[in-house]
Amino acid sequence: MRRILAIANIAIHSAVRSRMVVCLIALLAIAVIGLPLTIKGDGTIEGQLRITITYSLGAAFALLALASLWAGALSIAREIEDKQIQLLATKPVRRAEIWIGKWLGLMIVNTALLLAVAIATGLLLPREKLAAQTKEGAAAWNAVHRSIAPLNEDRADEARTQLAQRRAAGQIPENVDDSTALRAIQQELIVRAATVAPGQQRTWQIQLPRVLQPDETIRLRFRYSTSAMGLDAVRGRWIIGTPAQPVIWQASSENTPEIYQSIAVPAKALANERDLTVTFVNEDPAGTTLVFNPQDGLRLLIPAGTFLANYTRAIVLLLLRLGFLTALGVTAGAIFSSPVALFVALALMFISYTADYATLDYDTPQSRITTLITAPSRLIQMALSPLGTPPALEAVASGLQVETAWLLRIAGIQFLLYGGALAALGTRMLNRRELAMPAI
Amino acid sequence: MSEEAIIQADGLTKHFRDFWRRPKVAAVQEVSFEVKRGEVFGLLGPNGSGKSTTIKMLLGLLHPTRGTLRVLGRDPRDVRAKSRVGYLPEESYLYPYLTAEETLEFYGKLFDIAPAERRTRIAQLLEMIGLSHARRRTVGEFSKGMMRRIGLAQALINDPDLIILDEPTSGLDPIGCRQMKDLIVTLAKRGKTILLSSHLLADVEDVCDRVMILYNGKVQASGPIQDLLEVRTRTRVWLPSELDAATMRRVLDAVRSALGAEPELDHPRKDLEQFFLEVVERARRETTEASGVGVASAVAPFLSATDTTKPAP
Repeated sequence: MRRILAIANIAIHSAVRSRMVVCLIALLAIAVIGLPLTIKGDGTIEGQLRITITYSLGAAFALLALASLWAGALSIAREIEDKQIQLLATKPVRRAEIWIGKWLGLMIVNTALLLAVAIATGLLLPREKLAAQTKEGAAAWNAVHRSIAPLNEDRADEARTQLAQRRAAGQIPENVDDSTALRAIQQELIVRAATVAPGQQRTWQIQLPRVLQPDETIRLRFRYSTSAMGLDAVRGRWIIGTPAQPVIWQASSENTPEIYQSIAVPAKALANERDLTVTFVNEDPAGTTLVFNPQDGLRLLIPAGTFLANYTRAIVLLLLRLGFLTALGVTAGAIFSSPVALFVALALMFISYTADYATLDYDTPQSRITTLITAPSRLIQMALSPLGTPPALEAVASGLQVETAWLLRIAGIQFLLYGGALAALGTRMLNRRELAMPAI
Repeated sequence: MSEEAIIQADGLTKHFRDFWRRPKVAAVQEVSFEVKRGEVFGLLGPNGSGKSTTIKMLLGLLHPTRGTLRVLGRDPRDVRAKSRVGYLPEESYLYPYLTAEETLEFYGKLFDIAPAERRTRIAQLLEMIGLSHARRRTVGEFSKGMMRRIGLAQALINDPDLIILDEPTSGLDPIGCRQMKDLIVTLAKRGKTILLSSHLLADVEDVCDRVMILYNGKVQASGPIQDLLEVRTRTRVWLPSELDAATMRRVLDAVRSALGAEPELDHPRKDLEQFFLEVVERARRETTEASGVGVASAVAPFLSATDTTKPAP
């Protein structure tokens, strides 16, 4: 451990004495202090809060991510090129200790910078203005909610029944196989369920992760779309109950389409319940048909801790992500010379950011050849999909809980699994690499 | 000198390959040698002869293409072997932003030396290389000679059994060269094994027991320095004092009649290094101010005599 700490100390010295850190600190100061002053929000205090967290902290994190990768890629590659490793590697130091020492040193710098940025951003939040804005302002801005999605309605059983009925009625052409038809019917049922025509209603099943306390306030968060243009508001009625007692609480609403809306619901009547039903009745006099997006059309928000705790979770998540990116950089530097290592590490980082879009669909029936051709894409998709970045800062800015599942995914898969694999690869390549190769 | 082999190289070969893995340069070819415990072994050769490649294979920085290599009875990449080796590279591979003291502290930590012992060794080494007064200056500010001295100190911080010195006198002034050579001799007397490479032949001649001369990656000559340099066909007679002309004539006549050949006569000369050192020593006694490097002291006490009977770890 003493050797690892000594190498980490050198990595810190090297980082701190480089001009890059000075530039980075200046850029971070601009992101944290300057950016909120230059970006015009929506004029509200909440808007200012969102901008400060999403843009300032987001920009600061992007800078840190880039710097982590940069410093990581250069830490070993530059040491090999400057030949300092020729002295280091002749000491009784395992190559794994060199990798870990470099990574640890850079992570200590990362942690210090991220904490400084997080504290500065926290101090610059318009907390007092938020607290003074409403009667319950202090409680309102500090309140964090956990977002509960309705139970997944894949409509598979209903689709199978419909398939049998439509086959029997000869409504499906014979050249269309069962799986294709089933998927089409399933999609049709999901879209139909998301549509609420005038006078009709839509019900969602929601399972709460815990029993509500009588003094709590939960919120219904929703967004719907319409085919009509220029509508100011659509009238409807929200009903919350249980499967046994469908109407426990209800309220009329008149909300603008396409914008996230939320309605406060006192939990008193719903206390001790875990299984809830939420129903929307379309009572719009203009006869507007509404569509709730199946992905995020409706959420039930339940209280989940304080702003500070949530903010801390987001910072921990970002730090774990930096740990992964630093590992990526250090390993690239252990394999390649500095310009190549930088290029490879940056390219891999950008590829990892595409993980959120890596949802290729190859469910259609395939021949062996197409299976073979698509195998690399599937592998890439499998490798990339855990590398997405959960929207932690957006969640904090919106008063939503940074989900434990996100933290576990980043800690378990990105930090430990991928980070560990990168450490093993970097160590192996360092072991194999001849550190005193002449330029020939 | 013990019979225990500290370095064993057999058929050592190193080919460098190009980007496409095709052999491009045969840097070392079929080199075999042994270095015994307590020996000062010199690796000689012109630039590009394979000296540095051989040393880098001994240190585990390059992997032999063929042949076997054992250092202190182990693979050179084994950390147990490395813990008993000290290495002074040809150039300064030190971190320029660390001070002299921090540099030795860092390398001391890599050997897992306990803090109190580390502090003692650092103080003794700085004293030995004459840089106690510059202990808080960063290495980047040092002259080449001062860097070599710090490089030497880091090579000795672990009290090594095997010391590998690549061009040890490179960048040193004549005083530094003399001190380096004296140190090598002293360390050898204390039972350390020393392998040094140099193309300054006088340096090697002064300190080495045996040498190996490389050219184009191959061994051209090797053996004890005395055997290699002795000219058995000629004899030199040293007379204790200047002789008067008559006595000299009688001696020369006797030699002529005995050998039937004309002997050559000259006066012994000091070498330039010795003369230079005397001049500087005289100047030093007359002045009180010291520049860059201070007066180096005797060998650091912690550099113990190696117990040749101790088992390998």
